[in-house]
Amino acid sequence: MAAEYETPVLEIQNLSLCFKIAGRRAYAIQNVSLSISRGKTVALVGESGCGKTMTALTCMGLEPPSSAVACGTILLNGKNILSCTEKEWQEIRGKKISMIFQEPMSALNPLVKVGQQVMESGIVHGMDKKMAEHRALDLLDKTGLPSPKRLADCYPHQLSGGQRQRIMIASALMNSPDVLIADEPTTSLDVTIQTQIIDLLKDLNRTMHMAVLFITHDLGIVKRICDDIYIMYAGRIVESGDTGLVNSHPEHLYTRALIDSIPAADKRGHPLKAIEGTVPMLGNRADDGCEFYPRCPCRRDICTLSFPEQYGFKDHAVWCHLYDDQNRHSGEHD
Amino acid sequence: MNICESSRPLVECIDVCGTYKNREGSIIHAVNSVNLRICRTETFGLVGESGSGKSTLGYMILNLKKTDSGSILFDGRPVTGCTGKQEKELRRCMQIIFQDPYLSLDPKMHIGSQIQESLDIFHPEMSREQKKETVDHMLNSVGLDIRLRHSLPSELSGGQRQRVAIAQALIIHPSFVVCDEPVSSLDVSIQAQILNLLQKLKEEDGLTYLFISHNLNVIAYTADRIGVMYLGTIVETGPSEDVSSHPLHPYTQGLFDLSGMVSDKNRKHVVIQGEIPDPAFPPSGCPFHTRCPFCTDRCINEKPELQTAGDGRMCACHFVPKS
Repeated sequence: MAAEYETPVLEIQNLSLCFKIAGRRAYAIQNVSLSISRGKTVALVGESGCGKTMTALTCMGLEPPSSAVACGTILLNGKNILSCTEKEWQEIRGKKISMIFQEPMSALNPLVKVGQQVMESGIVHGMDKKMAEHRALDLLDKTGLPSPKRLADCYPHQLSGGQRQRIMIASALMNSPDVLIADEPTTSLDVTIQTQIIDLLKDLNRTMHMAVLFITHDLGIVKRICDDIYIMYAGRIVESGDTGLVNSHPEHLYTRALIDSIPAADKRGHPLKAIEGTVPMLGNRADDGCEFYPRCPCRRDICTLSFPEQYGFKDHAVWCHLYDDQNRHSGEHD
Repeated sequence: MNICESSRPLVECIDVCGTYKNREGSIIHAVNSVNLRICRTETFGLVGESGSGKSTLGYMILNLKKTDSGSILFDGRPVTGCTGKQEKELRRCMQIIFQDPYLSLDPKMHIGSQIQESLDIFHPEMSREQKKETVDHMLNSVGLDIRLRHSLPSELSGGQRQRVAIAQALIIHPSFVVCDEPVSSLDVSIQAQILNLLQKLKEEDGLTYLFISHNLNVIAYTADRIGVMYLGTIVETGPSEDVSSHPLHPYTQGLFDLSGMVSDKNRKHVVIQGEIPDPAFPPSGCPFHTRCPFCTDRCINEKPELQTAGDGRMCACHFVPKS
């Protein structure tokens, strides 16, 4: 692997984002650190309400105005973008970092032809019209749309869900961004189309050498596309590491529970190991301790007192008090 | 294991067709001469992409949509063309759970009253106390706190709402329930809770489910028998274990390969290209021929019939040997 691929394009360090709820600070994201190198795909996994999308929006400078970044940095190619002014953000958004949303129908303008919408992201960033048109058609072709010329002249409602998602992807790639954030890009699509979109993203990731942050709650998809995985629960990263390692040796009980709750043919006749309860609401989170405590099968008193430290190494890390006494992972996966 | 041959099926569809008219006036054959038998106390899983006619078939069985031709029998009695008193009697036996509990519940009605509504209709003889007691009991068995009786849907989470929708469907003790993508809008962890709940209630009440989903993992886990639908026709049916371990139809093979649960290592991987064709202009011959990697001239010209292919299995493909 070339050395330049090792330096992370996007590096989030100790990021915390808080809201004021009833006079109290409520953390939607707390101490999140994450890094993606060029040409890599990294998954951010968790249930709804865990702060995955909030993390992505903060990377785009699109966090809700009622929130405040409490601490942390986001480095894009080594430069902290959290301190950017709105004008500087406009230069970054869509050019350096692009995002694909879950529901392409609500992300596209229903009154503008899709070809125009794809071109727009190029023109906004200074591409001339001829060039933009050429690039748009080229990208529509690359995303596997049949007869791109004809489809570019359609309105979003005339296209199918899969086609719309391809349009979204083309428009996100107009300026060959360094980072592509895909927020549940396949959740609203059929299985057959889902696979096609995933294969497309994998392919583009390889050919365009982007760093991709892939947000999903589906661990099955992660296995197919992502190099590294970060498991998020109630605003914090609870486990991270190489996708294969995390899937084959899940250490955090939340990760294990997520894997166990996936239905499959060979689990027939046995009740699924569901995680009882739900993710705590933003206003109801404890200040200290592990948020998974109420749902955890192995909870202990210490879990309510402090958030666990990181155990393990770079390839696989876990934040859980279970490993307090036995730091048994040192070197195990190396 | 072939339960259907021994006993009379609870639901029987014979050559059922259902059409819609689209805005341009052309006719869409959403369901195209479907034959189907669902047996007592089984879970029949119906799987297919969007636009394959799964939900339409479910609605027609419940008499929520008119059939264009063919007949549907429920417990030996015709469902099609049922009106008035007969229809009300049918409704008591058949219920539905919808995909999106955000849309299927009344946003301005307390959930207790919503659950109680079916009791008001079907059991007017019950006293207020009796009804309240029944609702509380139902809330309990779907795992909801009875204090939630006075909450509005907006105060509940997605999983809780789906529990309300289940309570609503089951309070009058139907014998047959159509579950139309009941877990598709839920998180994995909540999905597992709801699947466990549906299974528990099924065992307690001896229910029969028609379980509609596009998620093959969910279907393979819950269903006793599976039916695979494509462009309005059923292309394969059979016991769940057999279909998931040895899918016969190329479309079923492709679906299972996509879901990552390939158990049959000897078989060539099937990759389904492209998208489901516009049902207003269905392809000639075999409906799947436009995306099938094994397509031949015969497939383009001649539509394969659904034929027996082994013990309790049926398949509509020219190249699957009959038995």
